[in-house]
Amino acid sequence: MRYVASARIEAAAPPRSSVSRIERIRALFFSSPASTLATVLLALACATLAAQLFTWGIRDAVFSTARAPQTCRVAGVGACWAVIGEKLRLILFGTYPYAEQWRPAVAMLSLLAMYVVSAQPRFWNRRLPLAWAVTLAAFALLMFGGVLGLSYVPDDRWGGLPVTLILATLGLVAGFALAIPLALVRHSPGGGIAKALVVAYIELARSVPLLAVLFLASVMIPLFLPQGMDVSKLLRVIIAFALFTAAYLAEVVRSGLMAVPVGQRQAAAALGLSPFVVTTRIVLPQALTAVLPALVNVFIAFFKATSIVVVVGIFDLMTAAKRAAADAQWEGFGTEIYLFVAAVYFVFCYAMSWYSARLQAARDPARRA
Amino acid sequence: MRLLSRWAGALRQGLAFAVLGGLVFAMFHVTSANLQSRGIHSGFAFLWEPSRTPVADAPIVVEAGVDSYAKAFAAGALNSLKLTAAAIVAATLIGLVIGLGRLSGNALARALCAGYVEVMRNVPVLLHVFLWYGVILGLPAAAQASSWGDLVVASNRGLYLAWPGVDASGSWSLIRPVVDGFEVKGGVYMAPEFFALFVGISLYTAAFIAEIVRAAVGSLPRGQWEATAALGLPRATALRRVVLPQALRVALPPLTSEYLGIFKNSTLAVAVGYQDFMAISTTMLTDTGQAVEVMAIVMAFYAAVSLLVSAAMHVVEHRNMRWGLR
Repeated sequence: MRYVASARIEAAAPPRSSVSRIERIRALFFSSPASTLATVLLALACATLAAQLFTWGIRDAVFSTARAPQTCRVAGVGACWAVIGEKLRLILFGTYPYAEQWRPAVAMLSLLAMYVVSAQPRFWNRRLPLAWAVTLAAFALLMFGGVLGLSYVPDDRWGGLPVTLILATLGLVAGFALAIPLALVRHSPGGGIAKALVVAYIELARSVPLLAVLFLASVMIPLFLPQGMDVSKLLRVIIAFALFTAAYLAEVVRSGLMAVPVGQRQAAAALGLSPFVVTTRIVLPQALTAVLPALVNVFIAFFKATSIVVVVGIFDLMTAAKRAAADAQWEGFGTEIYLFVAAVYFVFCYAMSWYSARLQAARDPARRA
Repeated sequence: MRLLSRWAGALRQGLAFAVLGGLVFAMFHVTSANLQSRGIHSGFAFLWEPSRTPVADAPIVVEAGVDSYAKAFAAGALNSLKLTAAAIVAATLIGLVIGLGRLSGNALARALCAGYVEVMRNVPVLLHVFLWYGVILGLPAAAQASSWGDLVVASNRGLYLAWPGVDASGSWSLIRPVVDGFEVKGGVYMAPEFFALFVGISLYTAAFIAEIVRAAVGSLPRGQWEATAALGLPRATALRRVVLPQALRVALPPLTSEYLGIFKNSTLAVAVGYQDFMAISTTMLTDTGQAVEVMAIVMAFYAAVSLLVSAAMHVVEHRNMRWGLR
């Protein structure tokens, strides 16, 4: 007699809900007098707001750039979306030479493509860093030019979305590269000067505002460098950004290191692997995958934080929006421009937070909603 | 072998120390040479010289040419702390409402609160500030200012709020702002820059606080709610006396970092021209050229406040743990 199943038995489907649709709606919106009141009041408020937004943003709005901004100045007219059409190139590419703006466009698209590729686990292999190196080189080539018949464009003429993207990308990549040794030193057993310094660095960097660090970089780096040596403003800000994000990323990586059971290291050591191999091939991969969602959340925070460079005069997406809103001819339509730029930031951040949530759900199926 | 490794360790420490010392020395050397070539004398003596820049909208008024740079720093520090305190109160209240709304039994309330969180937190805080700055500068001038129930007068020059105080007859009452020709009298004044920062930072941080509240309340065992229901406590009482006090313990560490985030984000004042500590420091930097000293003061101020607050919160946490039931 055999008690081992010979065929795979599929899980049965859940029983059909015995609750009718009407009852379900009642439970959601009208479960008690208070809930009913809340539903009615909130629905009324939403409807009023939506109606006003529709009137302002769509029904009475000006979309055509022809004869704008005059048509926008007529009393009773709603949003002036024409300003977006008029200023789109300025917002997206800043003061990059107008005829050459296909270059930042292509550079930006290649970065975006790399983001999408890097997000997928099936591409996480040795070729990915290589692909990134090629992409970044292509980005620099396209943006700077000066070879292959492309005219040279210095980085203080760059602007808009490509600057925001390269700032976030390089700042985070360099910050991440720095964060791993910082985290390893802080996590290492025993004390020593190196660890004390790392702890002091991380705590100090996390206790000061990014804006102060950016000022420090733009004011102090020239003072620290020997005379005659100069670093462009964009590079200075990227360095400051990397040094700052490294402290935050290091703490996330450290929490990942703490999550790796000590037996992993012991087992690897027992197999005779060298400490370097144990760290790079056994501990770090596990630590980093454990904190991937948290890392993405830090990425989101710093993607948003790139907007702060507006105060040190880097022409990023935010500065471009500010410049577009400051045009005297289009004065008074700043709200439309800022809403548009807010939508751009939203798309990026929402995509990242969706990705982070998906990673979390894949890791933790019990909590999947 | 053991001795050898100890020696190696000491050698490594010594090497690290030497490299660091060398770096600091080189940086110091280069910097002082650079400063000398620009004709800047280092030292903090400039603090006692009269400030070239006035500070008008602050608890301490600083007159240009009369009051010292040190006083201007103090005025900036007070402005930073004022902005931070106001934003912390507002963000906590809004965050609490939104966070509890996400746990409400009403699906519409849940959806709206979730929408609020997603929209607010996925846009840079600076953009929030710019948007609100644009909104208030777009308001009509003081003479045609709109007022709501005599409690608020809003114009493109700022907001005037009714506030309790001692009136002309010498008794306590709510002092209401009144439009008088081209200006507004009475009440508490909020400059457009302060308003934009206050509202922008509060609404942005509220989204994060809402998530903290939701997670903290959600982390409590269901039995807590069920026990209050079994005891016949009304839901509001249960929330106030049973659930929130316990949730607060869970929420305190992340709340602290949000509050410190507000403090650090108050430096965005530079972007709209509100004279907070950071903005005053940058003006002072251009006024005096004492880059190293001013940046050192800036770093020390923000680091000191942040580290003090974290330390204080750490103490509170430990106390909570001791008093806690778990």
